[in-house]
Amino acid sequence: MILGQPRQLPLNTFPAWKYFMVVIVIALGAFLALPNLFGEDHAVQISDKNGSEIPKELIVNIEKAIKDEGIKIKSHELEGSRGLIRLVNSDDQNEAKRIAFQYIEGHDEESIKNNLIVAANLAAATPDWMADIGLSPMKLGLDLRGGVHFLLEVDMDNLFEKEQEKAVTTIKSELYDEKIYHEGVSATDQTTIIAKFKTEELQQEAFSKLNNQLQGFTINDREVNGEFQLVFHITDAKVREIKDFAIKQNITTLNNRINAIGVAEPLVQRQGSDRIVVQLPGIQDTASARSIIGDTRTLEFRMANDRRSVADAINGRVPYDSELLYETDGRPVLVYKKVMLDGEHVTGAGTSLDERGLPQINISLDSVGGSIMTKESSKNIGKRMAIVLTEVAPIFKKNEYGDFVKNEQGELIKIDEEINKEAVSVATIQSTLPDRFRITGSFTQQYASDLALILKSGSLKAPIYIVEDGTIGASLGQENVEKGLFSIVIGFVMVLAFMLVRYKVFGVVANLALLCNLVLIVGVMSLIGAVLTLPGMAGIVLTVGMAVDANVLIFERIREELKDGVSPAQAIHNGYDAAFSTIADANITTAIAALILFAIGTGPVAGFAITLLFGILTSMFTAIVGSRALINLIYGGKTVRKLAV
Amino acid sequence: MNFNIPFLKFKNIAVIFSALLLIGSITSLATKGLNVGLDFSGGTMIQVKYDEPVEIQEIHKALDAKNIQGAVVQYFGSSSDVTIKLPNNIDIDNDKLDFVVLSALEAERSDVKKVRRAFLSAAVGDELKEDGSLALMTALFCIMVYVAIRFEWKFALGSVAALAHDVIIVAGFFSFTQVEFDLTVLAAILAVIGYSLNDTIVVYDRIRENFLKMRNGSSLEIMNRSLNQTLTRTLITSITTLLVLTALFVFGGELIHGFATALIVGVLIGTYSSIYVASAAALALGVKKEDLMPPEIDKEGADQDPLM
Repeated sequence: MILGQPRQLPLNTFPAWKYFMVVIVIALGAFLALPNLFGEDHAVQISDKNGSEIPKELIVNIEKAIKDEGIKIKSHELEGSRGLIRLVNSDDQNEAKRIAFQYIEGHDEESIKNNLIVAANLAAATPDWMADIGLSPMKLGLDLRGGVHFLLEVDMDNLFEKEQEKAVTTIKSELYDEKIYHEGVSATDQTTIIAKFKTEELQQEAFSKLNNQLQGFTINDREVNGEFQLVFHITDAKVREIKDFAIKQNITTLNNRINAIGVAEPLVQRQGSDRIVVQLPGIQDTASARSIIGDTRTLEFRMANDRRSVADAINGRVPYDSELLYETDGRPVLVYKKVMLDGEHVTGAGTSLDERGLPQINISLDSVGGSIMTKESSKNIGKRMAIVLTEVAPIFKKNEYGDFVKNEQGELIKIDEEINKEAVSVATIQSTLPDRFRITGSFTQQYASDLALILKSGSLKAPIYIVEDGTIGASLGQENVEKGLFSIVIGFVMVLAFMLVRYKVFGVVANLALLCNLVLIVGVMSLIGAVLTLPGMAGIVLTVGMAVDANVLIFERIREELKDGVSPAQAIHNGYDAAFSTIADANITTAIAALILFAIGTGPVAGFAITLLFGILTSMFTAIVGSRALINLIYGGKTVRKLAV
Repeated sequence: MNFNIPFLKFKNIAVIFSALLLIGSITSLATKGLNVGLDFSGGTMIQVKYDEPVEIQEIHKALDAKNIQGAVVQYFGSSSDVTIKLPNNIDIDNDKLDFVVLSALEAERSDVKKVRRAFLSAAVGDELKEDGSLALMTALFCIMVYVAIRFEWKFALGSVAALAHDVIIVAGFFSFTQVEFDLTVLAAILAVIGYSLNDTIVVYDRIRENFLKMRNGSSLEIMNRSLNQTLTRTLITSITTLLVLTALFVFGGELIHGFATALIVGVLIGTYSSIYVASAAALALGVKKEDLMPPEIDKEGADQDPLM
């Protein structure tokens, strides 16, 4: 075999594949960045809340109804359970939404009337073929563009009921232990418990025994119609403590859920004493945001009461310590009121197949939950355990737009409230359960993974319900956003001009590299679905500074070499060579910082870090490889007398 | 441009200067604290409704006229519904807050009424403070390890000292001037870390190169030489970055102001610290030529004459 000598490339020339790579990378970046050029359409969205398919003619009819009112429509589209009608003018959005809502309200079919939701939406105007291959524009954060807004009310009644029940049990067992006979202990309302006694002696004895036993309650004695009573009243401090804890727990759970879906830069904030505000950027579509907030139910592990007859319970004879619930498939089950374990102790859940190849749910608990479960399950081997999901569904008054009506204080008007409880996965405890256990049974894979998802996403401390949803404008205000963008452009242009004056031909090259860098950053950020906020722009500005810095380092080095009397071609070669290690070291250290801030930091810190990280990678590429390719094309492979640097 | 400025001759003055700045910053942070914005402190939300659509700018003007500062004004669903968020630390009695705000708005336009008022907790809670500081500590540690491996442990200490120096002084600046400290300022401080680190490493790299290249000269002389050689680059990069920042400061509007201010202070301090904290610290720790020599490889039989 005869092989030629490997061809020695002259100084400052790249092999063809390197030029090719530069072109490919930049073209790819530009392609990914492309969706950002198309802007957004104001649209009306019709979606099915159960995820069922919407019939095509319905969307067409709604579109026609809107058109008949003289509103210009750009297009409509339907994708399964979500239809979108795009409008030409943004001002028409509210009116179009009203027409669509009234059309649905006036529909004959109950299923359409009850299940379809109309929402205002800002839909990306990305051409279909781009959207089909997964390209989407960069999303703007809450500060720059606003998003959707939810006001969630935390239902505290449930929580206080539980607290009361616990206190009643404590009082009863304390009296039992001290052998003080009583005529009944019961909660009379959310904040009061009354214990009754036959004689004053018993009453006073109980008073002295219970006085310091019950934290968070005040005790008063009184006589009513010859009956001696102790009145326990929950203190304001205790009420506040319970509320604070529940809200905090719920905020943590909501934050975890939102982070898990990957919505960057959300706002989850307590408002007033029992409300939580959730704002999600980059989404104008309340229907899909609802699914991000996730399950509004609470989750508890409770024992089934199999000692009493379910048939009796169905006929209205429910034991006082139990309640009658139904499983998903409609089977009745009698469940103790006493909560064995709260859902907040669940740390993880997943599905797998058991020995027989049937789906099973694997649950892991935290250490506190684990020890409670071990203790409780050892007492209850052979008995059935249920997972109880509680949901509060308030019914609010709505107006013709489908929006909630408010009273004079700006509060929603609650017409009714539905509390839905469901028992899921009722299964027999086979052995003492540790902090990791599994539930098997005759359920489908779908059922198992749905339940695992609910378990995994973390249980709320108290059920929540949405009292208000809508869109919210940019927190920085349109004017500030425009000013901010304008100033960034001015700054950028000044840098370009400065580089041009200082480095002439090399300045042109550096500027081209800078522009390519910007395109690459936008492309990458669009690809990963990053949310752009003002701090995020800060990351980009810094990157622009650093991208220039790499070229400044190289060009200054070339100047130094020239000053030392090195030939122009050699000076270019040496300049790039010598500057490379400096640039690499400087960028790697900064990249380490960015990586760690991203990995450990949350929210805005992580958002900033991700922009910085990608900025470093793209700027190294464009400043070192990209600019070199251009310089090589200009000066490479020929004799150069003088460099315009 | 050929510079020959004896930077490190002034290092004692610099030590005093830095020490004064640090003491001042820490004292101010300890006594005055930061004037944290709505993001960190929480505050009050007042929702108002106008009969006719309103411009956000009109509301800002109305509030400014009554000297109510730090408000975040947002449309809420429609262009006649607006929420106004005010931080906790403004000088208005909490009970009178909605009254004061509403009368300020009414002075501009009479068709406004209050819809509701609610207390808001801090948007970034303790979680960010804990996670954020943990992240920062870990980042500083990892940077130190990387610099120690690539350069030398004395350089590693120097670079981290410079970073801590910069962060404390920029935070101190915000405490001293009581300019509002919000999330954008936090981001700016993180950006300062990136910038200052970049600057420091560039200087270190040249010092290492010169230690290996220059045969004579004391450590101080070699470092001085390196600082002068990189000075043009340092100046040009500072100029380009400051050009962007000045544009943000002048044209960027009120809300980008804090961000630009933090970065301008940070870039100036960061450039100074690369020379007088990072380099001077490495020098004070006694960096020598031998520290940066590649380790000699003990080759078996190296002390014997070659056989052939």
